[in-house]
Amino acid sequence: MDMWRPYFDLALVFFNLVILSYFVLGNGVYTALMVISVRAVWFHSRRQAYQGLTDLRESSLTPAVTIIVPAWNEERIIVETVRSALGADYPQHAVIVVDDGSTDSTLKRLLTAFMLAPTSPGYHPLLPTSPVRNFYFSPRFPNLLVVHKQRGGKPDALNTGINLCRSPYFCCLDADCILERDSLLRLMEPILSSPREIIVSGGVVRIINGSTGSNGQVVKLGLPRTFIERFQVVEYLRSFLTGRNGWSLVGGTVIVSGALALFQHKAVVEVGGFSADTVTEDMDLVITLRERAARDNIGVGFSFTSDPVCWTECPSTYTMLSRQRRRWQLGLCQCLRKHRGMLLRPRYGVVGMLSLPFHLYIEGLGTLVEFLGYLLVPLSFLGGFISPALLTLFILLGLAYGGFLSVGAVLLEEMTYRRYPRSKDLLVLLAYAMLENVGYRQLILFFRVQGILKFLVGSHRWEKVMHDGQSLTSGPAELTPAAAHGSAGK
Amino acid sequence: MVLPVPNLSFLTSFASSILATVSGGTVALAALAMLRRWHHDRFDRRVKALCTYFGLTPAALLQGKCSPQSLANLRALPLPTLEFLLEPLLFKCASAPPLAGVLQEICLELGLIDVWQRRILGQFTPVTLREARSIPDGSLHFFGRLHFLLRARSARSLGLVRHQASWPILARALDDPHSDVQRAALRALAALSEPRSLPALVIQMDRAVTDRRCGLSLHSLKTALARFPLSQATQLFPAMRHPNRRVRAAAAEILHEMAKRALVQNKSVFDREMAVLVFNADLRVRTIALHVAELLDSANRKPAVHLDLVDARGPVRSVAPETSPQRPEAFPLAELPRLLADPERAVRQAALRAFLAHGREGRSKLYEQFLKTEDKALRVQIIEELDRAGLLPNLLQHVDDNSGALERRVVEEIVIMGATRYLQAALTKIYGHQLLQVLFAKLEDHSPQKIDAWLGVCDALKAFRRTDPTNHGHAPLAA
Repeated sequence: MDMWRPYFDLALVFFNLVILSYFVLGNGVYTALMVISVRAVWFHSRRQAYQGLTDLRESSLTPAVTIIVPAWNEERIIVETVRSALGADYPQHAVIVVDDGSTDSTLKRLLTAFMLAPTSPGYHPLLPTSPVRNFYFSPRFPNLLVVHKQRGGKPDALNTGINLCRSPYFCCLDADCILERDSLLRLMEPILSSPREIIVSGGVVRIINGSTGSNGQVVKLGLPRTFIERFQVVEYLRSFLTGRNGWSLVGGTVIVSGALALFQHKAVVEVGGFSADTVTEDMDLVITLRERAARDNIGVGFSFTSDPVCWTECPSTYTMLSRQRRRWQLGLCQCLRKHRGMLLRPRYGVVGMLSLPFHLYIEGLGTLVEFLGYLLVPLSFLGGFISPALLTLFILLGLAYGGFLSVGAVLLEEMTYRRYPRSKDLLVLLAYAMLENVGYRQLILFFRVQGILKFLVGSHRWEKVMHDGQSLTSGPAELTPAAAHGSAGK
Repeated sequence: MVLPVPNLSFLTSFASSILATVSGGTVALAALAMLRRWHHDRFDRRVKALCTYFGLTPAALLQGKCSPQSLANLRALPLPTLEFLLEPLLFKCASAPPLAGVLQEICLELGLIDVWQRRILGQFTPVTLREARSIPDGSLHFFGRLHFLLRARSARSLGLVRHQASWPILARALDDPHSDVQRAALRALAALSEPRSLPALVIQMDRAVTDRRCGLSLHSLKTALARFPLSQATQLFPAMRHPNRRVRAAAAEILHEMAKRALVQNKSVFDREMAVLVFNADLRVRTIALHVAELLDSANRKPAVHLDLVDARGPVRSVAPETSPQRPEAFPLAELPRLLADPERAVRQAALRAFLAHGREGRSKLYEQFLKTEDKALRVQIIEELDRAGLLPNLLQHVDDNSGALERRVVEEIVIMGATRYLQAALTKIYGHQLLQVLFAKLEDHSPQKIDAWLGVCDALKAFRRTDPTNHGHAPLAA
């Protein structure tokens, strides 16, 4: 046994150094992203003063957009989601709801709520999908089309929507999300004002739990009650306001949330639409588009802005949270494996040299490193490799730095959008930002490790997150056709 | 074995100092967030109180309550504070044009217009750090690198208060080194719609297509140019003859949009201008002009996007069937046959719709054209248009009633052509009729697949097939 001791010791020391490098590199990049984001968000909020949203709203030159809502067993929330999509403030938009063979009353609710009747449009699929069973249409809501198809998964449902889309751009909206009225305009603004051709425009997903919704809109904003949901509010702020903003600025966007993203129809069709190879089809598509743009030397842009917002219900139970995080981690690993050819290839620019390696090392492998760190660092301490003072300092430093980044994200929110109007909410958010790394982070880490294990055993199962839809069903319910036409009179 | 570190105590003290810095930083950030919230709430209340005190509310301004005394009081405030107070009102100008006039007067009185103009030209008053701290958005005034934000805001403000005389400065700002200023100036120029500024915008449109360094997008330019009155459309004609296809297309789209706006505002202007454009020598101009004509009397209708979605035919999708023609007098019937020979499908389609808009006379002429033409594509297009206009059942009715020789000949021709989907529609209607004989007589011209498709809809053919199960081809049927 003693013969192996030096090797074991050496491995332990080596691993400690890996943890240290992971800690320094990860936090270093996150800090850099935060600094970049502060600058970007600050400028963006100043630029809003002369943004031409009114011009876009009033001009019929503004390209039409189709909102595609893939839905599977979303009976609790689907009607509100469609209401919010129909009520979007945009000069010309259509909504296509693709019911992906729901086994609950999703379709029935839609048929009743929007007085839909069967119709038979000309359907000429550009992308292969599972068979479509029926189309539904209502003269009262002429820009709504509901498609009922055989179950084929979310990418398949999205591809069905793409096949029916006749506009140059389409917006993906998750069936459990509420679209803010001007989000479509804000998503389109960077596309139309940029001299470059922009093929993807992403927005921010925020958490609706604790807020009150009515008629497809959020009317009273508040923080959720349970701590698991509140931690997620902080987490989403950090992820969207600092992480994605920062990557977008350095030209390394690889993740655009499929819950709210605008895509150029032509570009997506050219790469074959959404792929079912991974369980995070949104990330996969963005990387595929990047890959194609670099390979074919097409000068196109990818935009991310922090003011188009859609509100989503976050998981409120451990079971649902674990499902969501396992899927995200599994999808990340699948995407990294699928696009491994782009890693460290200068041809793919920032994405190949920085963004994907970062996601591989910090978000992918880093999960395992951190998890093992929680096991091996105490072992090192017990083995006498680390002094008690250094161990304590290291742990405290890790927690403090995580808190620093989260508090920074809350400050960024306060400096710019200030969505939570009550001062009490701000205090609560700050407290949760400081505490996020004690307990919650470790819990999420555990789920992520499960996701990696699923990846290693080759699982491809989509774990459905069920929502109770309570935040969105209060208040009066009827959406008039006039309201559905959005800004017709503006 | 021990951890191979140079000095444990050094590492511990180093980590301690980092920890202290990070913890201190976290607390400082949290404190800053709370401070900002408190400061912002206080500031908001103060701004509201000041606006009420000085009568700077939309209602008060529209009622003329901003007295000379109030103006004198306002003049005592620092300019940045004034701007800050006026900011919310400026945004309301777009939806309340009378407010723009009142605000323009106030801004002129207070010297803000002059300040904005000078800023766009890059003339800034230096501000000390202390002064910067005491005014809203002081950093923008203090740091020269942030001056572009002020220039852009100034350009926007001039547009919002509709200060017409500022157009030369705004036109100059289109060449500003910062694209933000260019965009704001462009929007301001669009808001002013000063005819003399239009050539500058047309030049920028050319640049947006041909020069990659141009900070303005083609779409922004199109949107801006489309806000100019239709009477200025002639200034766009050189762009329509531009060697670059994208410039020509953009100019045509702008014209389209201009005409739509003019139609909403003043129909007589529209008629006068469009009568010229419909027969313009430029193909693209003709196309757009004809499409615009379709919008007559119904330009305010919301596009039925569903039609776009459900219609499988390309032209219908691409043109977006917003309306039906209502004012045929804009298109002399005698000129329309010439347009049917146009190589552009969209032009032909618009001409077809114009035919139908002329009522019975137009339809008869169209039927004549249908029978006269040798062009198969045009024939199919005419049938499509008749189908779209819901005229096929009407034609078949004529056959049933044995009335309307012209209509009957058209139906016969449709049957002979074997344009499957229309023929199927006909077959379901003409069961047992003499037209079936016409079809039988011409069956040898059609493929077995087509005949199979017809079998699916026509009971007469099914019945015939049942009597002779070996019959798959068309010859026995024809016999």
